[in-house]
Amino acid sequence: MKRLVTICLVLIMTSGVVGLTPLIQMPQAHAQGETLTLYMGNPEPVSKAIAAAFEQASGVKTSFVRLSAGEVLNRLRAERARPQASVVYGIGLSTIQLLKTEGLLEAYRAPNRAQIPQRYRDHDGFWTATDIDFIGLAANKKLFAENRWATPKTWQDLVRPLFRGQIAWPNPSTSGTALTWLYAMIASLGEEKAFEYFKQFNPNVSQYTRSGIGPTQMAGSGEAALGLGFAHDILGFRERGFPLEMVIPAEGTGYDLFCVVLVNGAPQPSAARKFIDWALTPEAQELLAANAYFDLPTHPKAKISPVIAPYQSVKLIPLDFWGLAKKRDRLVKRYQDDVLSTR
Amino acid sequence: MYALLLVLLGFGVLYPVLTLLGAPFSRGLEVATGVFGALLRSRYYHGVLRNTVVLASVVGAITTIVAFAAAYATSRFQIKGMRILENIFLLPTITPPFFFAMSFILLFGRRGLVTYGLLDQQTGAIYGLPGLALAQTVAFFPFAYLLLRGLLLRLDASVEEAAVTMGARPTHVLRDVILPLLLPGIGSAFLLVFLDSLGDLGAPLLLSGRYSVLSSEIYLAIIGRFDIPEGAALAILLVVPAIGLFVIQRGYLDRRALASVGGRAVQRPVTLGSPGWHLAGTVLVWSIAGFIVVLYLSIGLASVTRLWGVDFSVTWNHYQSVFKDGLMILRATLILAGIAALLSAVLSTVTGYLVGHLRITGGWLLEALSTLPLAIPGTVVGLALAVAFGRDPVILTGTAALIVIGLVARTLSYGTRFAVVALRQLDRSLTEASAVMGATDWQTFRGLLLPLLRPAIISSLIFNFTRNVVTFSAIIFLVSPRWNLMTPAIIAAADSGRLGDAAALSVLLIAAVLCVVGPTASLVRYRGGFV
Repeated sequence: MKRLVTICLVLIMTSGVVGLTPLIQMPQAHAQGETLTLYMGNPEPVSKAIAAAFEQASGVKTSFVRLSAGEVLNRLRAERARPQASVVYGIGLSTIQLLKTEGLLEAYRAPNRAQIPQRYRDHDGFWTATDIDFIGLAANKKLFAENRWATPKTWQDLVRPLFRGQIAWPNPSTSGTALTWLYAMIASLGEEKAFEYFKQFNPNVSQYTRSGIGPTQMAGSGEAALGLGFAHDILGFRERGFPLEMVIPAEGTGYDLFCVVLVNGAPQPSAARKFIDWALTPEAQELLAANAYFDLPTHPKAKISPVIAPYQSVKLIPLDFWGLAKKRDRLVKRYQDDVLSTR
Repeated sequence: MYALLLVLLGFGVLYPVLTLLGAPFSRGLEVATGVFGALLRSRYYHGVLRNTVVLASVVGAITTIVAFAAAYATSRFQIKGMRILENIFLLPTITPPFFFAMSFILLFGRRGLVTYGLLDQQTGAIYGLPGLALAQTVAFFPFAYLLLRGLLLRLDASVEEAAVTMGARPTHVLRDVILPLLLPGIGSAFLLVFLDSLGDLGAPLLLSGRYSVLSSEIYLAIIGRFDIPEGAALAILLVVPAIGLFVIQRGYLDRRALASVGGRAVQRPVTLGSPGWHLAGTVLVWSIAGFIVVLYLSIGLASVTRLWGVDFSVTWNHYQSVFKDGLMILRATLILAGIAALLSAVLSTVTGYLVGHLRITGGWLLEALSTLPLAIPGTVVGLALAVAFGRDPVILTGTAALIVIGLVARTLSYGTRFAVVALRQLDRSLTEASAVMGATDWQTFRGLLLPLLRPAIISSLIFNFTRNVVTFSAIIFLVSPRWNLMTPAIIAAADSGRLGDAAALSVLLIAAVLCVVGPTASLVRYRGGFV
C-alpha cells in the first residue's frame, strides 16, 4: 500500500516537473519552426482539414480552436492586451464588422486578394470573404412523417403551437447563425415587429445551443424536429445520410460572408499572412465543399459544388452589415430581456 | 512564513475577487447603480433568480433525502457487496458534474434509449428543470452521502440501543432519536448540495432548455456580450447569498453536526429493523448503484456508437477523431492538475500548521482567505481571475499559470481542513517536548509533524487532483488555445451535438483519473470521514 502511494506521489511530481518546463516559456517562444494559432468558426472536422492542408502546403505548424462567432468576438475583446490567436477564419461578416470597428483587426492586403471580386472584400483591407452562405431550416423528415406534420414553409410557420418544444435554436449571444437570423428578421419586419415575432416563437424552443451547428445536429439525430442552420451545415449533414430536409422560408432568408482576418497584435504575424494569402486560393476554397461544407466560394475560379449550385438563386433579404454591427450588443441583450423572459 | 502566505493569498485570491467586485463600480457609482437597478428591474432576471433558487432547493432536498436513506441503510443494515457499492457511490466524485447531463440526454432525451427505445415516447421533457435537477442530484449525491454516513456511523450506538430496549419500534427510533440528533448534519448536507448546484455551469449549458439559471447567465453575459460590469453584477448577486449560506454551513451546522452525534466511528452490530426494512434498504441502495452504473454505461456505449438515435452500429471513429488532439489536451489537463494539486497541498499544509498547530495571531485571516474561493461559486472565481489578470499590472491571459492559480485557489480550503483536523488530534506536549530539546519550529515541523501529517497530505493531494481534473466552471474563462483542458473540450463537443466525441473524451478522462487515483482507492475511502 505504502509503495503504491509513493509511486503515485512520484507520478504526480514528475508530471509536475515535466509540466513546469513549458510553463516558464511563453506560448510564442517555440524554437522549432513557425507556428500559427487560429480561431475557426467551421465545424471541427472542416477546421481540422483546413488546418492540416495549410500545414502541408506551408510547413507552418498549425493549431486551432473552434469557436462560435460570439465567442470569437468576446475572446478577442478579453485578450486585447495579449492576443492568443493570429487569424480568425470562417466567421461571418455580421461579427467581423464589429471586430473591425473595435480595432481588434489589422488590415492586410494579401497578394491573392486582387482576384476576389470587390464586393467580397473590405475597401480598408481588414477583411476578405472566402465563402458565402445563407441560413435555412433543418427539418427531420422522419419525425415529420411519423407525426404527420406539414413542413413549415415560412418563418411565420414556426410560431405554430404544433411545434411547441420541438425546435432547437442557436443562442444569439454566442452564435453567428442566430445573429444572421436575428438581423434578417429585423431587416424584413422592422425591429418592433421582429421582436413581437420572436416572443411568439420562443415558447416553441426546447433548447438553445451555444454553437450554430448544434441545432442542425440535433435535428439530424432526431433530438429536435426543427433547427436553424447555415446551408453548409444542413446540406453537409444531409449528404452524410441524415434524414434532413432543408427549407428556405418563402419570405427570403439571411446570409453571411465568411471571412479571413488578421488579428491586431497577432503573436505570429508572418505565419498569419501566409495563411490568409493561402485561404484566398481556389484550391483552399474548394477544400470546404470537399469536406462536406457546402458554401459558395468567393474566388471566381473555384469550383462550385453541385450540392449547393441549385441554391445559387435563393431569395435573400438584403442586410446592412455595417449598420447592424453597431447594434449587435444591444439587439442580443434585447433578445435576452424581452424574448427569453416570456415563458 | 505567515507574511509570505498572506502575500500569495492576497495576490491569487483577494486581488482578483476585489477586482471583480469593483468592476461594476469602475465607471463610477452612477453607472453601477444603473447596472444593478436594471438587473433588479429586469423581469428576465427575476425569473433567472427564481429558477436558480428553485433548482438549488429541489436538488438539495432530493439529494439530501436520497443520501440520508442510503446512508441510513448502509450504516444500519448489513448490506451485501458493500465494497463494490461504496466504490460505485464514489464514482461521481471523480466525474465532471455535466457527465450526467450527457447520459440523461442519451437515455431520456427525445431519441433516448429509455424514452424512445423502450417506451416509444418522443419527449423533450428533460430539457429544463426536471432533467437538470436529476442530473445534478446524481452528481452531488456522493458528497451528501459521505457526509451523512460519517455522522450516522459516529452516532452513539448506546442511545439507539437504549431506545430499542425500552421497546421503541425502529420507525420510532428513526423519527424521535436519530433524526433530531442528525438535524444539523442534514441541514449541512442540504446546504452543501445547494451551493454546489448554485455554482454548477456544465449541466445548465447542456440541459437547461429555456430554464436559465444565474451561472449560465453570467457565462453568457461574458462569452456572449463581454459585458464585464453586468457579468460582475450578476456574480455579486450570486456571491452574497452563497457566502452567507457557506458560513452557516461551515461555521455553524457542520460543528453542531459533529457535536450532537459525538462519539467515534464504530462498526456497529445490526441493531435495527425488521427483515422487511432490511430488504427495502438493500433494494434502495442497489437501485441507486445500478442507476449510476447505467448512466456510466450509456456514455461508454455512446462512445462506440456511430450515431446515437439513428445508427447504432459499433465504431471506433469517435476515439480516432478525438485521439490526436484529445491526448494533447488530456496531457495538459493531467500536468496542470498535478502541479496545482502539489502546490495546493504544500500551501494548505503550511497554512494548516500555522493555523491549527501554532495558532498564530491573525491565523483566521489565512483561513478565511483560503476558504473564500470555495465559498464563491466556481464560475465567479474563474471570472474574477480572468478579469483581474487580463489587465495591467499583471497580465497572465492565456498562460498555464493562470489556470494553476484558479485550480489551487479552489482546492486550498480542503487541504487546510485535512491538515487542521490531523493536527488537532496531535497532543501538543509532543511538540513542546521537541521545542524544549532545542529544536527550531522548522525542525519540529519536518521531523515530527510532517510524518504525522502524511496521510492528510496524501489524501488532500488525491482529492485536489481529482477536483482539478473534473472542474469546469472554475476554468472555463481561463483556458486558451495553448492550454485547453478536457472539460471545456467535452462541453464544446456535446454542445455542437457531437455526443459520440464528447463521450469518447469523457471515457478517456475518467480512465486517466482512475489510473492515477485507482491504486490508492482505500485512501480515497479514508477521506470519507472528512468531507
